[in-house]
Amino acid sequence: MLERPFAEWFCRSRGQMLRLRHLTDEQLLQLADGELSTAMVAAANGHLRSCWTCRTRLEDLEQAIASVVIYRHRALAACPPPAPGARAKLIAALAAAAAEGEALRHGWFVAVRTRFVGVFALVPIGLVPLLLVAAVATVFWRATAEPVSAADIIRRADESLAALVHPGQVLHRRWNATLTVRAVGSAPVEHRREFREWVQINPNRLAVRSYLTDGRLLSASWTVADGSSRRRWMYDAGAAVLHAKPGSAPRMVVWPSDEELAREAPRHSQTSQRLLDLSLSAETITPEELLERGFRRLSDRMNAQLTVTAVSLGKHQTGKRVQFFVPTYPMFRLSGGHVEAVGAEWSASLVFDDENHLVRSCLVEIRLPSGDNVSALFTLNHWETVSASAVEDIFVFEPPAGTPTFRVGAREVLEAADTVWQGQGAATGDVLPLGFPRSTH
Amino acid sequence: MTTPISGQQALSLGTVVTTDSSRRPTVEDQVIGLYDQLHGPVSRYVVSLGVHPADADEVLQETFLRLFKHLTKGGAAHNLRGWVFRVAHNIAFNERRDRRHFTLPSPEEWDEIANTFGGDTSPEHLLLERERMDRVHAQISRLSPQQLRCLHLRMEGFRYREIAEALGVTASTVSEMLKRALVRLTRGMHA
Repeated sequence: MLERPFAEWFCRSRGQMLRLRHLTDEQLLQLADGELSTAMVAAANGHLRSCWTCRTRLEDLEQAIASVVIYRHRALAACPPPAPGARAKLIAALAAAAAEGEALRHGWFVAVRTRFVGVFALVPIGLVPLLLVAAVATVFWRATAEPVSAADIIRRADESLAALVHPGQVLHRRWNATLTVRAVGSAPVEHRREFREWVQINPNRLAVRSYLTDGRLLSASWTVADGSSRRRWMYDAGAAVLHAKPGSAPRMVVWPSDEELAREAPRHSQTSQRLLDLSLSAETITPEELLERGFRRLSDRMNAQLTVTAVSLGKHQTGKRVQFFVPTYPMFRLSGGHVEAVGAEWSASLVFDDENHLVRSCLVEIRLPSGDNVSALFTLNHWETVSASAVEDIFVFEPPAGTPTFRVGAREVLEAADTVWQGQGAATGDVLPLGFPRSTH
Repeated sequence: MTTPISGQQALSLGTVVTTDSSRRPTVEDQVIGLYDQLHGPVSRYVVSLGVHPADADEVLQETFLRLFKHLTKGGAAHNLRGWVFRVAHNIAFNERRDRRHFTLPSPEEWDEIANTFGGDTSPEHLLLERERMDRVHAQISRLSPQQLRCLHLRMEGFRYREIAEALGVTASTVSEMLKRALVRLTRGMHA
């Protein structure tokens, strides 16, 4: 007994325990599938001989397996049969692949000569210069067709961000404001306090946006990202706090608190000088200035995101995804000196062919002020080159009643990634998808 | 009849062993041999995953072409059966957007259902069978993709370890997935 291997002893001990209690579903399945160890099989079978309950459960399990097998057999039998000639096709493909590999082993010149010897034999020597000119013209024509690749958009987006922001930069604003906050189902509560705002260009720290007009806080949103989670609160004009992200209970937030302000003060003192030109005050701000000085600044751009999925359509290539960030903007309406938020956020996903500059589909997602998300996927019936004119009219989003209509095209996406925002002036009554200037053509 | 390899051959986990001394098997022979053995199971598997039957052949062609390139480049030749299923699985999923989506037909859509049952074709028996298949169909529709993959690979005769290798998970995960799937199916059958 002393020389008995420990493993054997352990299994027998477990087996003895197994005899005393019911088998688990997993043990039953492993027993039926022959995946239990020998010692465990003996113990399990011993238990089954003495336990009607487990034996019935095992029979039920095997009946379920039998039903699934029969179901699959019949479902597949109802499928159309495979196309004939698949084996011959594979043999031909393998032969071609083998020949290609052989040609590569003999060098590129031999491979080209082998493949195109018939073609070259038909072309008189005098036509060679003409062919070369035609090839150069084709390349030049393709280069001037202004196709846009995903890589190009990424580069331009990076350039625009790099031009507008320095990592770690802290922007600061300060003013006295009357903050009117009203929770759903309760009376409005006024807070008169000094209000400060920081915009720190650091994704792991803090991003703040707030908009002030006519001495009262009209709309504000806070986004706090700590690297693993992202929390966001949004104030709307005289309304409740809206929590845009699921998973957290809506809550009333007056933030930052005085203690947090005091904690941030030293950081502010180090950077206030160079950020002086960004200071605003409640006495001078107007809706127009709000548009000019607030919305068009980087703080409006930094939380936006556009996902571009670049899919290579090569026959034997797998798809790849590329993601990057470009701005999205809240939509506001100018109305008699007030700024109303009429839409919250939107983002667009384009599916590009990275190599051939083709766009396949566009996913538009809009987050409404109510917290609801509206999305629409547009798929092209045929491939189109991504250029200003080709896709201008394709991505027309028809939102539900009460939601402003706007259109998203490749041109807008590209212009949003540009460094300089070249929108036209806003007029009272206009509805502006901020960040995407109205088409200039 | 086309026979790619002359002489007696044995196939063990994708390794072709031929006793014909006059000709050494090439990589192409090896791939075709595996195709002959596996095209049925792999085709069933990818169709079960939702690939349209008309596209299944294309997945198979691509899979075995990649196998050819894999072997030509001196890739590992052990457990090629698992390798083929894994690559077919990846092709079916990674390029699914470019393919027609397909859902296995439900019992309601099965043509000539009375003939497929065979045996006892009395109306009562057919009705009971139909109800049973309806329940299985409903329960299978609720399984997670991972559970479904484990189930289909198991039905193709794979051991837990082989399924784990094909799906890139552990054997205990496979066991857990299969257990959950079958518990759900068992409960659904008795509901």
